Amino acid sequence: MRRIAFISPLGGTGQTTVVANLVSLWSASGKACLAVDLCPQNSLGLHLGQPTGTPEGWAPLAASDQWWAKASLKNSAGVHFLPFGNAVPGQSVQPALKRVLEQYPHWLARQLRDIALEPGSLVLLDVPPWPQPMAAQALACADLVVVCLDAAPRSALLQPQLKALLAQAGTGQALLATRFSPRRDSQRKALDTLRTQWQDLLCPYVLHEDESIGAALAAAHCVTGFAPQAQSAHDLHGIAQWLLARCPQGRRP
Amino acid sequence: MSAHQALVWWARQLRVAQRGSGWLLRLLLQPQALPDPLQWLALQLGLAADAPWQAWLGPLLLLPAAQRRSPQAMLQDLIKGPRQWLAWLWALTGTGLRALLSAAFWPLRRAMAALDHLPAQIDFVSGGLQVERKLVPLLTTPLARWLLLGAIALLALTILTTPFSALGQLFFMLLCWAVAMVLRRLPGQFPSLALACISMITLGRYLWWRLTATLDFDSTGETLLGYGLLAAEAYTWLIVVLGFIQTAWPLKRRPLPLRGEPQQWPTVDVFIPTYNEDLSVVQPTILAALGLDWPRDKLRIYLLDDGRRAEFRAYAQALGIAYLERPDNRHAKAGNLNHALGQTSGELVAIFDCDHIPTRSFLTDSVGWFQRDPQCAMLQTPHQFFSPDPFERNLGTFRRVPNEGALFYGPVQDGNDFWNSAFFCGSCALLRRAPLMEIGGVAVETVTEDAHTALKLHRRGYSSAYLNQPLAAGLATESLSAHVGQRIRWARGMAQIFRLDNPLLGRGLTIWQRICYATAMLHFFFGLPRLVFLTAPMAFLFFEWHVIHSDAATLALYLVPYILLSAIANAHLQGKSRHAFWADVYETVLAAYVTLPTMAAMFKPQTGRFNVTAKGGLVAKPYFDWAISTPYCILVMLNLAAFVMGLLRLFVLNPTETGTVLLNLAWTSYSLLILGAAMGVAAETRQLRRTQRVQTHLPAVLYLDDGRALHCECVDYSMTGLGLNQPAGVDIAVGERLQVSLWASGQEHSFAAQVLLKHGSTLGLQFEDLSQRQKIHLVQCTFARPDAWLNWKDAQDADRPLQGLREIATQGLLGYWKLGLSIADFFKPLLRRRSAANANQA
Repeated sequence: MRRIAFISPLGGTGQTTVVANLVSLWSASGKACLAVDLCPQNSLGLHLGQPTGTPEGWAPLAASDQWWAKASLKNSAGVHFLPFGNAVPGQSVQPALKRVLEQYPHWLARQLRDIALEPGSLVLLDVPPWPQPMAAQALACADLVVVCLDAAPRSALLQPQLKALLAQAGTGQALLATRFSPRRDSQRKALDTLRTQWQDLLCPYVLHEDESIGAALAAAHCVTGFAPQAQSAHDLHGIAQWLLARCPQGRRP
Repeated sequence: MSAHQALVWWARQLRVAQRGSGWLLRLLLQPQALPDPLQWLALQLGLAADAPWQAWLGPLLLLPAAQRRSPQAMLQDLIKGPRQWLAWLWALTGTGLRALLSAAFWPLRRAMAALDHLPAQIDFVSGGLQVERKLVPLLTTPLARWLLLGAIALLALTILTTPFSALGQLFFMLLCWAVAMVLRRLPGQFPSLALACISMITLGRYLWWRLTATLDFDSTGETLLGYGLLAAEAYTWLIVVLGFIQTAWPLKRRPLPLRGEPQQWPTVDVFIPTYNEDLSVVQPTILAALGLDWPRDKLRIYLLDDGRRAEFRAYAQALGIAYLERPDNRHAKAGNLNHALGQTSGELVAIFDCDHIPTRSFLTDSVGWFQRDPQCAMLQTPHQFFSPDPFERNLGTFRRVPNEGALFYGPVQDGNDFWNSAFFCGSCALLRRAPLMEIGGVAVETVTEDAHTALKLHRRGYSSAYLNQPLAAGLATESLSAHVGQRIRWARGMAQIFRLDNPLLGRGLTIWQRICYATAMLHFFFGLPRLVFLTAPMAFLFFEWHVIHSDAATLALYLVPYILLSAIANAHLQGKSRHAFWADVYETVLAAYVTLPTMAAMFKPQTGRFNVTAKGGLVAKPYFDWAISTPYCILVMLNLAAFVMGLLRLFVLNPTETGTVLLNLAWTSYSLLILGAAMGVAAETRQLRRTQRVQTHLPAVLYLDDGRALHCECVDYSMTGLGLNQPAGVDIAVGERLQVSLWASGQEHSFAAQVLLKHGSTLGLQFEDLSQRQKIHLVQCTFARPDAWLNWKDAQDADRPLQGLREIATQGLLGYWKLGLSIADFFKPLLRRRSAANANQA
């Protein structure tokens, strides 16, 4: 099993989009995959075609001490995923979950291990912003940590924070620049800065800002299937290849 | 089974009625598709084919049936019948001939297959290593080396001078051919050298035989022409032997990484000389120079404008580069460069003709050689052209057949480099300032200042380098007349140097440098010998003079192996740079023009001006360049007359000398084909685009107005627009405005553009209002990519001598076809005028 954690220090970097598209791409290529939404926003399921308003998810189960993977779903394209679950009005799962995480520092690693996945399968984690406790656990157990950054000036200012974040992760590390539009000078410069800052850690394939991503989401489809001629589809193919080549084989038990 | 049953069965098989005529035909000939004359006649007469014989009498003799067809239709049918027969006969003959030929060549094909198979059996590499291990210790002393050389020379001399009977010569040449067929399949440079040696042996035997057995003439005219032909041949032998030395061991330098920190790298002045070219031609070069990978404070760019144009000054100022002009135009380009040398101080000087766009890695790939060798005064890179030259455009061979310059910028300069005599070619080169100033700047005594400058540097003991990697590319000459003009200047200049500063004489050069320079210069004297070869058979065909005293069979025995083996050796040694027989076309086109200037330069070397080669133009309408093709027309006329005369001799006048007549006829036919190809070059085809588009395969992104970004492929580019393969399933309308982006070393740059046209799945885009910065980026994404010209040669066809011959023949015939069309075009208006006049009168 290889665990790939996607994390970003800022919102709006298109991290969930990347996770949803990559898991679809890898599933379509015949790999056994599971995407796990660790964010309370519970938006990964929406990207993968889950109807809105379905309350099922692993968090309510985990909060009530049940087996979390019972909530796993499979969409029509055969993609397996584990949604976070919607908060039922009046009953928050957060405090219970927080308690569990504080009590068991390796909770996530154990839960993941206990899912009987095929050997060699990929687990994609859509991780909430660091330094939440869930993020710390995800960083600690991931074989490859992928930091998503939008190609914008603000990302170039984050080098110290990101270094601190990556210090908590293992050797498998990568950065991914997203939402790039070469028409904007500031973005081109920001991307150049990111390249000099991170060099080989930065994925050479940059995810472009592309209307097709939004259109695909609206059609409940992944970009690579919905608009194969789109530049974003091309980028995602490149990113998928590059990440796979970079991901170490199952680092920790 | 009774006899009758058997007969019926057979009749069914052959599909005939049981009647005599059908049987005969079917049994003798193919059982299908043959018209049965009886049936045909019956059809014509409106009878059933198996009607009783009495019924035939009526229609045949008298009674015209009501449905009887018109006499014309009957005549047509009558013709159609025999035509089918003829076609059938023709096909049969063709099949038979082919079978006969393939049977005749079967042993040859088997032999060639076996010889091709043989090298795979030999473990050449380890065998060679063993030989080397044994031989090298023996050859450490100079004496041993001289002894070995002497022995080889003695052996060679024996081989060349031993008289053989005709049969002996035949077997010896077959042996040479067999060895050559094996050698050409072995890897490495030594087998190539051996192959060249074998071709030298066949040349040597031909030469020896020619000198000793064929110079016995009957009359003064024959003597004169005979020795003239011998002199022309001697020139080619000399060039072959010198060329062999020149290209014996191509050095093939690679780019050398730079040493030290960027602060320690030398300062570079980039000179872009211009005189009368359009600003649009010069712009990309300047923009690319601005993008060169080099520390900003160590790179200065100078626009040397000999035209003193305000527009250029303003452009240079806008881009922040230096603009230099001078009060006079003395010594043309050389003077312009010297003037700039006086005003600047950089350690190295890079020179680009104003249309040669450097790639960004030009300096980083080449300066390393100056760091390694402090004596290195000049580094030359090839001249690469991204537009077709007149040959390529008018013969349709662009990027398919290596062009005229490929041989020089391939094996020749690489070979020169081995002997430390690679020379300066005026552009796409780096020079070290100090040595250049030591010889007084760029040479001004001749019209080829570049080669002369290099010669002077070599005389001072400096070395030169040739980096065979296209690091800049430019526009080829736009028309045949411009091309011829440029070559005339080169030929004249080289002849001038040969006369004024002969490399064989004077101080400071090694013997090998002398040979290389002399070869380069002597090469331009090809004009007169070429004209001699184009007219030589006429001596016999017109006047029955025997300029080679030999019978045809013996001549063929010596000449054919020589031509065949040099074709094999050339295809192996330089096949990537010059296809077989193309040298004949290139030389024939120029022969008539370079003869006089080279001769004149030998006698009066001071004359002759520098003419600027016109570039970046367009040919709006196809036309035939009558002015430039006058010499070929005369030669064609003469050769045609000789050919007709030859046919006369073959059948009427000289029926006893069939061999000689046939040989001369073959020679004339070859000349006619080559001349036809030359005519084809003179028929200028259209060149409509103002800016040349370069074919390519680059990733690109289209940004539509609705926010979609589409991945697509850029298929061609120029400074004004792009061609894109339209992504599937997307409809983009003509006139739509969008953004398109390309990459330059990992950086993506986008440009505003409008869709101008749509052709199938290809979109034509035109850029809109690019800023100077964007233009620099555009050049970086396209012309100045380090790999822009690297794989340019991969698309070329492989050289196969026989195929080359066929291609030349096709080009020759096409040339006559184009000539015919041009003549028709010429007369058309006259006819039209006359018919209009007639109509008016009526």
